[in-house]
Amino acid sequence: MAVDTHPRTPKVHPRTPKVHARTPKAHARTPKAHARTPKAHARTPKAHAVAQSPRRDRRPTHRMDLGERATRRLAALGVAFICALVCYHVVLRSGELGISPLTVFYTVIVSLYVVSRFAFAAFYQPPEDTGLEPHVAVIVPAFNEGEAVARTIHSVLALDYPADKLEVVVINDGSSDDTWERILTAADEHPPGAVRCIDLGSNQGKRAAMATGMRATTAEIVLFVDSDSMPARMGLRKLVQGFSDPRVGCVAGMTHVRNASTNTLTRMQAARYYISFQLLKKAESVLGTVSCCPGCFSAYRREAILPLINDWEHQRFLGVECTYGDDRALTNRVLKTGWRSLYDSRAEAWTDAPDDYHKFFKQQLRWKKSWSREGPILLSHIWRSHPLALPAVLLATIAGLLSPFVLGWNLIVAPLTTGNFPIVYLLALYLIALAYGLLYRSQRNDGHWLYAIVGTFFYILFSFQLLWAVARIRDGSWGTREA
Amino acid sequence: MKPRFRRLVAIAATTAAVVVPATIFIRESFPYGSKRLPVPTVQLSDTEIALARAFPMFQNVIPTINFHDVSDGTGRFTVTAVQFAQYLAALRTAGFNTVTLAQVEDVVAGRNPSLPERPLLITFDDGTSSMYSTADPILEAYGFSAVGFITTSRVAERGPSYYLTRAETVDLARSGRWEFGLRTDGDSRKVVTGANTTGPWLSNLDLGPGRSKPETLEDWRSRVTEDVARSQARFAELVGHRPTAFAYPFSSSAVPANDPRIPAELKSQLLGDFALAFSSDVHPTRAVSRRTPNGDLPRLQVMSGDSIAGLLDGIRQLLPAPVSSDSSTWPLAGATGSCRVGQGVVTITGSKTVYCRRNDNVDSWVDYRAEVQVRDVGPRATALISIRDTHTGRVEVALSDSRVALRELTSQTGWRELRTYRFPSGLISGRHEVDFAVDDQVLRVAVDGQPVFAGPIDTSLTTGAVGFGMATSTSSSVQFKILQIQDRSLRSSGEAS
Repeated sequence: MAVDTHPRTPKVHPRTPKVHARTPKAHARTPKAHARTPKAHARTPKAHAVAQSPRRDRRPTHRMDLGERATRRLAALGVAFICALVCYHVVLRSGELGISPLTVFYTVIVSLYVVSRFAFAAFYQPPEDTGLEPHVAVIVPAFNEGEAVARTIHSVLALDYPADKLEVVVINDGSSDDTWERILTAADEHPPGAVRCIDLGSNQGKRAAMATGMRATTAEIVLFVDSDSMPARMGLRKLVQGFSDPRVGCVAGMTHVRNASTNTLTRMQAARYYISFQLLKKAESVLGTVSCCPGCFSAYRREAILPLINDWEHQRFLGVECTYGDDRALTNRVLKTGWRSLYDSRAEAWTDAPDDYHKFFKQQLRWKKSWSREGPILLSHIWRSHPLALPAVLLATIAGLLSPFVLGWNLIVAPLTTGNFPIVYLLALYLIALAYGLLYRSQRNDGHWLYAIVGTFFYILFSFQLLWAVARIRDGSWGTREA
Repeated sequence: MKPRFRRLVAIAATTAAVVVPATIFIRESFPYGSKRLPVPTVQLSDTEIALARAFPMFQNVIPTINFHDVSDGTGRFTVTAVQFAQYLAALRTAGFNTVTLAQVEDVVAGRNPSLPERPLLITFDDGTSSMYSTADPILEAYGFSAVGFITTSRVAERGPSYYLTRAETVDLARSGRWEFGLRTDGDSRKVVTGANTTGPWLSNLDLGPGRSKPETLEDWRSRVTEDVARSQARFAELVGHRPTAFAYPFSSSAVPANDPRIPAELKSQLLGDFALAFSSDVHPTRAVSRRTPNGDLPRLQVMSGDSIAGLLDGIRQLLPAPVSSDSSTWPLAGATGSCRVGQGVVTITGSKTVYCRRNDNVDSWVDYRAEVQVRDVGPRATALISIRDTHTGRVEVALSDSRVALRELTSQTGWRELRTYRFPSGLISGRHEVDFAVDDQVLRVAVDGQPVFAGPIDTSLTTGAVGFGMATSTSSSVQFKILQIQDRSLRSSGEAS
């Protein structure tokens, strides 16, 4: 295996530590840890958990039985059928433009957006594997993450990547719990110098933590891993391949929901994540304009982000320093300066999704706020990235902005005023949800595809939150990061 | 075997979950064969039922009412399906029976068709698809028929469309409930008619900046002729016969034209092409009868805010009012002064010219004789008696303290003096008696027992009631005492029978 050919060796020249930077000598390691070979390190029990993550659904097609293969084909056919139906609908509805311009306008916009996602995604090719192996610094910002951060550290060190080309920087953003101790304990289980631990001393925000990490390294590629995320062992090796194209500034990996089986909410989120990555990000990647390389598992070219960091770290919007939406803001700036952004569906990671509705609500609010803030900025420059990117982003923006109003009109106002049950509208929503579910089923067989359908309705209801998000866009409270 | 079976069941269920909703979706959202909406259930209130049941009996004239879109739209001319059903329920309760265009033709041409009791013509302008989806099921439920005036270029080849589709039009024609008329081929756009004015394109020269040079009457003629010919051809191709009825789009008949020659020429051209031409006047005055001038057949526009009582009252006012000397029942209206009516005396006061005219249907006023005593005529106030007053013109006697003038006003020729008579000196007085008799050909007038005029009046003035007025420039008042008004047609028909 690749890991055997690149034995992990302790860092020869650990970089100058910051005030709180942890040097290997400061903490004596347990004899047990000493006894470990580099290979054994890569196979710590915790790291092993990564390998046990649900992968049965990713079996290559040639190993699937005939029935499963046929089922996936049928599901894909179903998706194509629904897309064709949507196109058909658009053509017919456009004849009504003179009668109800607003309704038809929205129908056309939304339909074009949805179908264009499927169409673009169909052309997606993951970046070519050229065996590229650049220096990579893994930045893990942590704030009150408890044991999750240890798990993340172990999984990062278990990455199948030459140790001399891999740096791990963990930044404690002034956690008020025992996160710092857990970071140190986890680092202790690895050879000296393998993990560099930085304590910011006080809570300065995720952007400050990420920026500190970036400044602490000179590696060619910076990989951001959230403190509750775990890259798959081969994840990084795949992820860096995108950078063989010198125009590429950042590459997003595919993130699965680790705690998918916890409850209905996490199952719906798992399905939604899968759809967002395998449909939306694939579609964006075809144009080289992935609009958000998420903080949980994305790599950035240092050269691309270094000039942007100061400005990004202290981004202000409507007179307030921005806290949320760090990833979207960073990708946005990378795109703006002329770099391309890609998505690599082979580079996988797992992250924790909120498992209760309160946390989920807060997270969605944060995401909607950052979408509302970064959307106009993206629109202002995306035309430079690809000729088709502006129309695509415009469609997404208009459809997204109008959705709470159209939803309210079709499901509440119109039925109440006319007494007509919104059968056509609901069926349209159902068919789109079904398309998402079938797309999921055409690629995975883990029984979660029905959650993609239910989840679509669930997420659609959450579009009302956009109004609240816009109204409270200046409120920078994080929801999970109250200090 | 077992898992394979389960998989097959799952695939079948999923296929059904895709195909069934997709089919419903296609059917609900793609009205190739348009949807017909259910007839709303409506209940009239006791008052409305009583009003409808009390609707007077009539037989020989045809009140015509006009609808536009029947939908949830918000236009001034749009009524909802529920309103429409309520109107029809009231009309059914009142005992109305709809007639055909052929029967209307017979009435207008003076032939005496056998009309049902309380005949009614229901028309629709614009040719919207709600005629098919909404209005037709309701018409069917209440047993009425209707006439749709369509703009031929708007008929859609396939739905969904705001306007009728070809298939819907053919369907309606086949149902036997619908006849169709024309509303031109092009849509009802407006043209630039002057410096800052626009007007209906059918009845105005296009002076628009979009043209290289302003339109001449010749250009207008060819434009209108071409449009009408094209729409006739399209209509025939659509419905299977040539159109017999026309309705002016966009109130073309009511708004003044920017070339005075146009109205007459337009009307004569349309009457050459169509047996019937309906106006789109918002305020009609009468039901269609043999006395209604063709080319301007009046229709009552039903508006979105109209109540059932309002509609019934509107139709009642279209019916001819009987010839009567009972001035207390006269709805006299003066625009600039006051008209007091009581005990056979009409008193007019004001400081400028005042007319007190009836605003109801005076089609029954054909052959009558009247005697009126005029009081308080002086050098500053001239008394005016309209012998024949219609909404297009009148014949009137103007009495000052020294002279009598008899004159005629028509929309075609303007004022024309029929006779001037100067009172013999020494007979100057503020009180005169005017006696006149008129039928559809001849007018005879005598003042203070002296025959003043006997002769024909303009053919457009075949009906019209007695009215009063005063011409003055200072604050004055004149009185008219109605000695008698007698309907001579009743007497003669009574003698005949």
